Amino acid sequence: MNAENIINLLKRHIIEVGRKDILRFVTFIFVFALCTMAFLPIEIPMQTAPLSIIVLVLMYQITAAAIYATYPTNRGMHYLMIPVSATEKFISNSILIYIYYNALYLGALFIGQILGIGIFNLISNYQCVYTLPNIVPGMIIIILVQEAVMMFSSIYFRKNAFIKTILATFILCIAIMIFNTIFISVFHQMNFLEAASCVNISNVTIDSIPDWLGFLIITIIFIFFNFMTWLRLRETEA
Amino acid sequence: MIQLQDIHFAYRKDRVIFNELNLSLTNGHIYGLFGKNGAGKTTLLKIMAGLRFAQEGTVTTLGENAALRKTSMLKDIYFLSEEMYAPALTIKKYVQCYAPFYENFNHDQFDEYLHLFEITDQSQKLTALSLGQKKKVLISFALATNTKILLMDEPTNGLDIPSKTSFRKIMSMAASDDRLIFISTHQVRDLHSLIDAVVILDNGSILLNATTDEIVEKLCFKVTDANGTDEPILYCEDNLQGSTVVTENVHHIETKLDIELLFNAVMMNKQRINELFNRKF
Repeated sequence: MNAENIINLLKRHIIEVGRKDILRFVTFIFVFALCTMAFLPIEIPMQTAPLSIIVLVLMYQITAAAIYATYPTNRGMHYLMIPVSATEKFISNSILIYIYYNALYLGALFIGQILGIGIFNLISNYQCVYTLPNIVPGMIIIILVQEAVMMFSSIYFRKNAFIKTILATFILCIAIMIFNTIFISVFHQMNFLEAASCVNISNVTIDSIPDWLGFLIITIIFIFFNFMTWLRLRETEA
Repeated sequence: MIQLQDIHFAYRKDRVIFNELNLSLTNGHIYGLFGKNGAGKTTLLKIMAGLRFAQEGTVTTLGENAALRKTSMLKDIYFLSEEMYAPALTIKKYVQCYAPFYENFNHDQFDEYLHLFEITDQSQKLTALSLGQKKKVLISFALATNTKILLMDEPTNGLDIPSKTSFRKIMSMAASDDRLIFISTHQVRDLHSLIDAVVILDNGSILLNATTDEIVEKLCFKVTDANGTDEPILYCEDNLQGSTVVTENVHHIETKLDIELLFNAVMMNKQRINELFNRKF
């Protein structure tokens, strides 16, 4: 493994899409500042439902941007022919997705909210103080897992990887629910509709299992998808 | 430099592209790859570059298994595909982005090739260039990488007439004894004076792999009237001057190779061509 190759790959990324990323960063700051100003009179930032949705949508947007920038399928052949190893490509993409884009996103969120509060204080009689959003470590891990899945699917699907992943995840959830319903109906001797009414997806959260087990499961999923991405990158054809 | 042995490749079970294909390419040559539409020319280039994997057989490029795409192999091979990747970067930035990956990239050569192609402003964005101009930039880049193997898929598509002349000039400048250039094209006349070896692909196998010298040693290309030759005729094409024929070169007369006629002759006399150039490719 050659560190220079990884640096060259990162430089290539910055030269190719750096401008777009700056534009994205500034747009996000603007959106977060506006949202903070709009919701500040109602509740504390990050805890209002509409703002959380905006935060989530922008997070998906940045994930999509990250995977497009790293594994765009329309130039797959060109990318595969860059003379660096699959491991070096994988490492540089991991740095971009897990560190660079997350830092870009969180930076925009932080600056946007401070800016929003500052402007709000200037134009109103309130004197709001900024408090850091309560970011739970579990939430960060889930984001990383989601990005790992996206990174894998972006190299697995040749076209429209982002939409296909969302759909695949949705179908998987439905399949789990159906499997769960069948399981309940068989073991509790209920008919399918009665069993379906017992299935409540909201009960199946990370809180309902011990912390260590949840952490272990998520770590395994994270490692699994990263390993699959590395394998797929080695074996993909153009 | 490139060795393909007993290659079997199919996109689907019912769509076999290559069956027991054998091909050996050595350095110091500019090969022209010819074949009908759908013969598998692009697929063959991709297999050589390690972008497609043969289901059976071995593909050795620069002494490595091509499918592994090892860095040592990728550093010395450049594949200029027909579907060009041209990001929204200026020519200068493109070079800044990709040249560091190639140890032997020569900036002076790149500037010279661009100059010969009459592209003087390197601050132009690739996306703002016409198809032909994009191609000129990417051909210049490909040649300036100075890789040992250069695979080109339809490089003259989209080039105007003066640019095709420049292309031939630049290619002959870039050719060297330790370099292998493999060009796949339909436009035989563009490569006529450039290539020194011909590979003809048909029905999943190699019909001909010979240098131009070997070809003119064994075949004769001439214009004659209907009864004007006593040599076995492999192919005949009527035109205003009489008939253009490809015959076996029984009397060892040196004639000028016509790739288009050669291609037609090979297609019509597969068995005889195989006997004449009797060897395993």
